[in-house]
Amino acid sequence: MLDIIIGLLMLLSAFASLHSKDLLKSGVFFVVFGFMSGLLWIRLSAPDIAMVEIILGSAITSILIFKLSRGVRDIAIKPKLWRRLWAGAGSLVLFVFLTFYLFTVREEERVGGLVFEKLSLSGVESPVTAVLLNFRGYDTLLEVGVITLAVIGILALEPKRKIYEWNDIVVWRFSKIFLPIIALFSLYITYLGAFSVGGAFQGGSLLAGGLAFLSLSGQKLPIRENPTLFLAMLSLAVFVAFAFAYALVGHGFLTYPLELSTLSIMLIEISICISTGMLLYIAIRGRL
Amino acid sequence: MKEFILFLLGLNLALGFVRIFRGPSVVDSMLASLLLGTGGTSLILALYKFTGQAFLLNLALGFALLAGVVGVAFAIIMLRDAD
Repeated sequence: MLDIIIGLLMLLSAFASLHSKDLLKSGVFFVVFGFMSGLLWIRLSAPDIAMVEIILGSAITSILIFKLSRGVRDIAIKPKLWRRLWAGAGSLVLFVFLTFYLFTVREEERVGGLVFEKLSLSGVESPVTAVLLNFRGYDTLLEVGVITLAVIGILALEPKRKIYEWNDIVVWRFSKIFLPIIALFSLYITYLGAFSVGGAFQGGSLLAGGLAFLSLSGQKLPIRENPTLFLAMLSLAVFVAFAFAYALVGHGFLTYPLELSTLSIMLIEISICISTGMLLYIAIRGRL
Repeated sequence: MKEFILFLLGLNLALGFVRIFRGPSVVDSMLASLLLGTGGTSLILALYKFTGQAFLLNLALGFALLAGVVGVAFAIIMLRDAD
């Protein structure tokens, strides 16, 4: 019963988010959509995706949408009919293919069993983190590269964008109390990634939420531009350094030796947490 | 009893959604969606109580920390419009 209500609300909010006239109202529906899909992931017992969806999809993305909604208000963003039909047909084909695959795949061909079988070789206890940073570390390295590149693109647009400054003493004082709590909690979530539900990207986006609160009050972090950029690039540098170091020693690109794997994964996770926070903070703020 | 409590919280979400949908102004919608966030957090906590999965507590705390930031972001955007 609960699942039906949540599913219906999710579909309705997705529809409303696409079809409401005001962009700000679309943003409000997007918050609800992210939250509902997070609840649905909890009910489907997929806790990691639920955490990403609720923290990143619902909260951080909607802050970005609210922030951007003023800039594009007058521009018509209605796509053409054939383009919408094309997208609909594409997703229908994907849906049919995935449904077909889901019902025909054999139990022993699924990768889940393989992951749990090799979990002791990965150095961490959480299967999701093991896949993310050890078994398929190459994907995660490229993902980190993609978000870094996206933020460099945002920085390149800097002179074109009008940046609002809105100094508010109440929000500022409040964020000074708030930011340490969020930073501590984000580190805790990152640390938890090695054992159970949690991880670097979730923790990093929590940190970005706290930093976004600071930037909304018109203040900025009390560090200069170059260290900010350095912290934002930190995860890419650490990740590539680990990969090349182990490749030079003779283990292979991104293949951790067994006794050092826990330490390297933890270091990479912490660097990804800090960098994701700084990158999203730069994206929300629009400049360094 | 469990089913009834979960159903009640789900109904709470659905009724809040009506206000988001119909809300005369965007501000009404946003306030209702913050209410929905509170209702959803209580739903997560109720699920924790019934199933005992500890990660739900972290999830609820994380969302409760960030929901306020979303509300502040929205309010600042609206105040800029008023200027």
